Amino acid sequence: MVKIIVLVKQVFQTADLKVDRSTKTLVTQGVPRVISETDKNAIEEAVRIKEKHGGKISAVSLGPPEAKEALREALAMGVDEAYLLTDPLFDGSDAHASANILAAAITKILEYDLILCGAYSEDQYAFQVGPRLAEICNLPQITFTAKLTLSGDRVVAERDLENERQVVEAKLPCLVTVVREINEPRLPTLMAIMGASKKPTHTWNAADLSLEPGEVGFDGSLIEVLRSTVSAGERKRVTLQGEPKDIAPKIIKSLVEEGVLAVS
Amino acid sequence: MKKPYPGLMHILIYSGIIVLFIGTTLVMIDSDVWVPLFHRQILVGYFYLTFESFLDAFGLVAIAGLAAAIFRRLFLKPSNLPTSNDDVFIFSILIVILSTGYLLEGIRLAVDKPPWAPWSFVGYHVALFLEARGVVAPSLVRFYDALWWFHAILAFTAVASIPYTKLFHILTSPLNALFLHLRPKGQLSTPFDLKQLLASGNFDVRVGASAITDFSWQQRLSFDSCTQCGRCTNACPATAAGTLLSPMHLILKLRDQMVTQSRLDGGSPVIADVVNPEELWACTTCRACVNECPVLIDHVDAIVDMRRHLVGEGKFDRAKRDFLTNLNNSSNPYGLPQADRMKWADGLDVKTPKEQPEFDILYWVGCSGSYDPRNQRVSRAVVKILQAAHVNFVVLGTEEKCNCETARRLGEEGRYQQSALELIETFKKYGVKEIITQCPHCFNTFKNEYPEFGATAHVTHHSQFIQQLIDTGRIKLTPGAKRALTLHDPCYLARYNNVIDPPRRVLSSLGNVTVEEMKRSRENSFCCGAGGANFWYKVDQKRKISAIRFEEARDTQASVLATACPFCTSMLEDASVAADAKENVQILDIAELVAAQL
Repeated sequence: MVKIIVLVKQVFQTADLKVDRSTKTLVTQGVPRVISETDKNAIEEAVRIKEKHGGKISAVSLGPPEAKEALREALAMGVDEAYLLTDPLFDGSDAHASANILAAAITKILEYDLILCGAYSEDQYAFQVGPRLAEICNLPQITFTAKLTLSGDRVVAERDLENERQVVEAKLPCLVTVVREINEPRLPTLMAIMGASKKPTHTWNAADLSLEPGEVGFDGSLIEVLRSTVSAGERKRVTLQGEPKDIAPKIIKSLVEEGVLAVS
Repeated sequence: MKKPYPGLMHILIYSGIIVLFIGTTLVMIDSDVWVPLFHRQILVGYFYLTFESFLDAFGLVAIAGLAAAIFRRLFLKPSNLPTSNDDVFIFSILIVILSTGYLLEGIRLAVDKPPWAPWSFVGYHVALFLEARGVVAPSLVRFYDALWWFHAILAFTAVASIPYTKLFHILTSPLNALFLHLRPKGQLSTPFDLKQLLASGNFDVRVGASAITDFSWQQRLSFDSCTQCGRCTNACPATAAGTLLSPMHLILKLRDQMVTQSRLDGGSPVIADVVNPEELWACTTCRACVNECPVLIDHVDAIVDMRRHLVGEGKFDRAKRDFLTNLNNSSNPYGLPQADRMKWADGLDVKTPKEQPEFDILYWVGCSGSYDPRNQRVSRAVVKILQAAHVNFVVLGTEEKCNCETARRLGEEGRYQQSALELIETFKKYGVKEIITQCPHCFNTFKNEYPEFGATAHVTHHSQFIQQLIDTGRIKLTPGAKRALTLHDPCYLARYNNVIDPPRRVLSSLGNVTVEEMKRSRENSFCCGAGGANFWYKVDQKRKISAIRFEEARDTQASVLATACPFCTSMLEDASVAADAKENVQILDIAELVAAQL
């Protein structure tokens, strides 16, 4: 019986995001909202652990009221109960403030053996929230996990550090952040998602979590965005013509010159 | 009677046995019921004599049918027609019954020597033969009783064997035909009504088939009707491509599971024990099997039911997951931004209903026509034709979203219905009365499946619409260069919806063309390999379905392979590249051919 908390962030479908060049802001209207990919992996991993060892999974999401949809999908994937942390006061929270809010919620849920979350979110790519949360909660943390095994009161994790793979062990309770390689998340059907509405979902605001306005949102954040620029990445648009066997070496040559391919 | 040889063979055996059965029953009623009760005979005079000749003749008819059947199995050997113990048993018992029947009659006539003996012409000759051989009366009488019992027991054994052998189809196939669903060919079964579920908030519905009991009783009856004739498997593109799927064997496995299941207490989910998911994923839902089946089994429905279960359990690979995720997140299977849906129309004067609320026709472009660079060319050709004919049309633009027909055939029913409800609302919002589409899959679902969810618009495929424009003189074509064309009939157009002549008529209006038919065409067309979501994932095929079809097109020597479906176009074009024949055979949608000659 393992009690798992999994953190779920709802993000905009990044492929559909466009930048309004005049205001330098993102056009988010009509853009679908989805669960951040690595958080999906975290949910999947939690469900697999539960399937093997038994237990209970609680999903926690910090976001706007729409994030309830993301939680419903998590419930359909096999999560048992969900917590939505939403309050206009939370708007503009950076990783520091977000970790504070999540820590308050997790402390309120009380019982857990393992916290799972994505190594990063698809919108910010800051890689911050997991490690900060572990620090606040005073938990051992394992980041960039590509393989996770639970045995008794310990977890063994393989960390994907790009050029090396590190195997580490930690005692429960601990926090583990995962990368996409860890698993293939299941895809619940629409019927399963609809049916998941029956599972318990709790909504907490700042007051429920006893958080003061100064601790959250812009005021509670350490980072201030001074300005945004839009970088226009122009493509080179190189066209090669001729027979495949003549072109192939040319393509390889250009790719090497561009540094895309490495010659060993 | 689509196949004359086995058709005639069945009629001979069936009519012979039925006439003899009725005749023998009449004799029994006459001598064992009527005479004891009323002391009168029915079978007398010329009626009796004609009756005797008639029965003798039909015995020969049955023997001719059986001979034809045995000849077919021994020498013609149609592929995928397995000869089992059942068949040996049935042939033997029927032949022995028939020949002992004649022998009994011959003995009767030889002993009694009635003046009317020649009326029973076969028995009479048997009697003459016996006499010629010097077989005499006393020994015959003793032998007669034994032979009579033997004949009677065999006849009853044959009747009693019906439920245990393939003869069962005599009973089950007419019942199956009687109770078969009356849905249009292109309409899949609807396991639940999402609108109702949303209203009730209860989503606890068992969807799909994992146990044999999950199929409807009519479906189970249909499995019992299978005669193992192998025609479905012979027509199946997935079988031809060397995948694990053989529709006949799939049905037989399900039928065997019914027997196994009936012996289990309470039953258990057993489909997974005998059906490999890869068999189900290999189906292109082309319906060639259903089209061929003489006893009206709906293989495709059963396959989709089992797929629904797999999808509900999340048992599918990454490609299928990506496909469904793309539909969920981007409303198109490519995962491309919805904002880019109108990019195909860059530089064209195409309006949306918001820009032009008064319109006659909604041109439904479809995901392939909107996003796939190859088929964007077809969409542009369609627009050129519509504009040349001064048709007042609009497109939905970014309000067009995948209708999820493919998701439905993959087994994701909920997503399909959600999309249907949403799109029907959009159609209603703009008062859409007439839709034309270049995609036969969109065409089929709008035409045959949407009415169930409340859609009322009339739906036309672009081949039909273009034909009408040509017939009514709204577009005039300048004759092109002399060339030979062949047409690939899309399954969802020709076989599902009987739209067979319109694309042909469009092609012949091009002028200077000859249309060469492929070996398999019209309602017997051979799939391109894309249907039933197969376009979106890889199936382990020994030889690609599209390659087989492209080869058939090449055999016609035509320089242009005309298509009328974006997925057929993509599949066949890939096949032409793989066959290194892109230069020899041009693959063009009929809209492109027409637009080029405006």
